[in-house]
Amino acid sequence: MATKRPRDAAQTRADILAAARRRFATDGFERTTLRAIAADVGVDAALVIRYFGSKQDLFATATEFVIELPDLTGAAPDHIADMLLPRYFAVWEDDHSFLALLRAAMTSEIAANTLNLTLAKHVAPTLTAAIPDNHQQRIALTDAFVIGLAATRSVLGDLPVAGLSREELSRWAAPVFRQLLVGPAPS
Amino acid sequence: MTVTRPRNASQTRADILLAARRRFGAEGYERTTLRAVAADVGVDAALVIRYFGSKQDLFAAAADFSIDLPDLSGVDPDEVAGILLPRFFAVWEEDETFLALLRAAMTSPVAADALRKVFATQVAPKLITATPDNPIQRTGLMGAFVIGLATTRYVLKNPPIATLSREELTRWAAPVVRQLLVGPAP
Repeated sequence: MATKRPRDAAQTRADILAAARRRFATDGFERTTLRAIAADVGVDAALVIRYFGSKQDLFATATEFVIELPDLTGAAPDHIADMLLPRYFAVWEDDHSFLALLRAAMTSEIAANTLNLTLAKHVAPTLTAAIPDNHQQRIALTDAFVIGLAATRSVLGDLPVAGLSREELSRWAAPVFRQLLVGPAPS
Repeated sequence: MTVTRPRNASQTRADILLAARRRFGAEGYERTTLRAVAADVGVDAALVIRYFGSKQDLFAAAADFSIDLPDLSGVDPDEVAGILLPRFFAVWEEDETFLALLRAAMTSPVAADALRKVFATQVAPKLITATPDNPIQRTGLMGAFVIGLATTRYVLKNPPIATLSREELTRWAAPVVRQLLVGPAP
């Protein structure tokens, strides 16, 4: 039986999350209020609290993104970039949660910590499987490169790198991933 | 003869620019008001307007910085990173302008335009002097790498990179800079 109400609970939850991502991304974590998000959706702030808890809880839910990286154990060095980049593209270019988090993280320590924790928990272990030595350095610079690509392509817009096709970008990024993850440690 | 007033015009201008950088950096372009910047300095908003004009003019003045990159024509490929990286560190670490612009650019089209202009007029033309071919790809990815280093190390303070020494970071960034600017085209 189809519901006749214009909104059901699942739709309202989804609308709240979408509004929260927009607010956190444009207003930052500190200045975003549950009241403003509720008003964007046309519901009461109490409903937002009932569904999601505190502002920090809502933030965590709204910016939670999944990055599914493949197991890199034993991967051929020349294939690593091709294995990773499509997964990264899916997060940067197709997932609004990540971009909301990245934008919010530029002005909020809480959001920055959330992003850093996600990198540590969901990205670093996968990269570690490919890395022969100097784990901290290799992961640090790989994360920097990835965040830089995401920022310049999906947030800052119109920089030269934003005009490259995914294929072209992958071709040029591949030797960098190769060097940073498995290349010779610099002397 | 020393100035005994607590403030003179040039000091006030400098204070306004500093407050503007903090506000634009922390709150972004759209939400920053001239009134708030003026209040931070303890002056009237009319004075800010008299000195700097509109909010957009103030932003342009506050986010105006020069990065002094040398011409890289004919430089030994192994030396390129060693020449460039200290200049980038200087911009990231020695004044607040770049980081304020970077933070604001992530949430404001006006600020993003300003950042792109800096890249297009001051950075890309110098990087291109090092590149043997594919200038768009090489300078584009180099720009992404540099923005990524600045973002993760100074804004996000991502622990793996924020805790590396400058020397260690330089050592690991150098082969990437070399590959992107002058390495074999893939």
